[in-house]
Amino acid sequence: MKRVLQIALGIVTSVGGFLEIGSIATAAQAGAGFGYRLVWSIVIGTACIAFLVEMSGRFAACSGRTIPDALRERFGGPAFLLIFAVMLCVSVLVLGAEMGGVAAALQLATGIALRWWVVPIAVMAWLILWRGTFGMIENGVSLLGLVTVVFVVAAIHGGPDYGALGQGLVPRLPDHRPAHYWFVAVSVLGASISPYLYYFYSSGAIEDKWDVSYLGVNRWVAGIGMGFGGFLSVAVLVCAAIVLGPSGADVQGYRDLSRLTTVILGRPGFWLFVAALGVACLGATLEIALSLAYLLAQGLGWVWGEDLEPRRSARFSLTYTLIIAIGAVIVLAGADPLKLTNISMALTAASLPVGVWPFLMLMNDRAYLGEHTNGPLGNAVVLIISLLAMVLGVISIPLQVAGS
Amino acid sequence: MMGRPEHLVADVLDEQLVDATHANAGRVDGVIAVVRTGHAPRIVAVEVGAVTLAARVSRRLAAWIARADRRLTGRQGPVRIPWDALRYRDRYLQFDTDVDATPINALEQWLRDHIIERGRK
Amino acid sequence: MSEEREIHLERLLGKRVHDNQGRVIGRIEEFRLAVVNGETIIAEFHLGPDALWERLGGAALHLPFFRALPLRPRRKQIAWRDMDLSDLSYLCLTRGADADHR
Repeated sequence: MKRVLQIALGIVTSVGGFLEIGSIATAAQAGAGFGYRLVWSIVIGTACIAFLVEMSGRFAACSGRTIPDALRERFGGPAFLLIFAVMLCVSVLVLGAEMGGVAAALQLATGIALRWWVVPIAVMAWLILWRGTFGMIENGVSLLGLVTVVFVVAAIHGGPDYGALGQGLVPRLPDHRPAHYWFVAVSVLGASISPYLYYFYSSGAIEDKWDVSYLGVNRWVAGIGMGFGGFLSVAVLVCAAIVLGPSGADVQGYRDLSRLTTVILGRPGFWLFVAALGVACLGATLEIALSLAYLLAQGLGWVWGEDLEPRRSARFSLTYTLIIAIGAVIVLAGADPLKLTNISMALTAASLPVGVWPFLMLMNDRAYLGEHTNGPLGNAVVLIISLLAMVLGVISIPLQVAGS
Repeated sequence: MMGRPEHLVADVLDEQLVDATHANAGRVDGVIAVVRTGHAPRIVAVEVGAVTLAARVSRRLAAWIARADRRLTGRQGPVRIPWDALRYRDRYLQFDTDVDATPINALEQWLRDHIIERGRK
Repeated sequence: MSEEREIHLERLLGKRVHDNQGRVIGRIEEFRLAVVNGETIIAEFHLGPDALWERLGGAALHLPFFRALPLRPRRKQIAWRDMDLSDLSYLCLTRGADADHR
């Protein structure tokens, strides 16, 4: 019974924690610009992250180690520093986008300009990490994130073209704006396959003291939780296809995003969108900051743990403090949060080999996993999709930058 | 050292170090050997610290970190743990003292005393 | 009495090793340890990409993609007495040492 409840909680928190500004914005742009044609990119991105999250939990449960711990041990200090440097550069951009998302939600709610909210949001995120426990962050914020189900309600209520939606599951060449099509596709992949997500998940499994008996729980949580999360992203795309698709208008700002639910559900849809955006981006902010702090602390062998008092893990605690400050500075420096979202998602995809391939090699190492190493399906799915994302990213980012 | 690592890179370098209480105490960032003509190189110590790690990437970076570390913590260089004081366990190395009795966590202590505790007052 | 000096073993990783004719025979990727008279010594230096595979645990060869590649691991193990460490900026074999190792 206890395991059933753990599975249920894990699925619910995975769903609640899945959407963030990256998946919302990229799915909305996909729907607005190309209708249902890019549903396939959400599906393969979700499949890839589901495999990666399951691997991450399995790795922690079987080896008793986190991914950064094993990366340092297996590949050495200089290689670890390279991985950390790439992850840091890309993830702080994503962090800036998420903090911008929270600020945008508050701007929509109050009319007060986004930049005035950045510092209070940074302080609030920092306070939650400083004072909170891992369980509170993992469960509390993610449960609140269930408000993102509003997109599913709106998508069904809006009366989508189910036939076109079904056709969108099959990858197709674009019928217009090819450079933008592939850029949005790679951004969707980057939003789905964020390394910080499964790095965070492995640290969480250790914080929760998982062992081999949790492999079943892990499989259910990763598969169903990520699957439902991907379903939420598809719902965002559907809403955008319904509301913005007919006019062919691009998503220009957060007000356009808020129309996805407001046009279909009226005023309650607006407030639910604001809540969904705010909570989803706050959750992602906390996860990214913690994930980078875990990565550095574990790689360098420091004392770490969200459940520890900051005075007992000073370097770890001050690392996430500094990271939140950097994220705030990026937004305050005037970066347009939506443009920042797009480029950071595409950069995430282009840099996936650095974040994913060393991890994939660990997943095939019997010294860590014993008999629980990857099968050929998991290896193939992750390898092929991450390679695809990288190739698309390397090609499309320059085209998009040149085009805009 | 008790136990037996068979390979330096696979079993010793970059491994987690823990103290007598099993608290994390950094990682093996470097390994020191003594070389003498006609004799096999003999391992005498491991080094812990960002300076040693940085030196594997860039000497200039290591020098900059060393200056900053000296200014903040007063440490005069990387921390060395004698090889004979280490016990090799599967996947980590342990030494027999409390990490707070060594300079390994000097930065951790400095941050705690000068930033975290000050903020609490 | 011969002079003793300290060296950082981690800084030897990746360094090229030359034979007596000045040809590069590999890069240091691993050190095999041994305990002699209670002291831990470097018994062998492992060179070349095969030693790198050793360190990686052959994990990459388990990936479906890499298994298809025609990789034939090369292995060179140099005994401690065959490695001249007098000049760390130019590592070479000692006089008379044979470069053809298993």
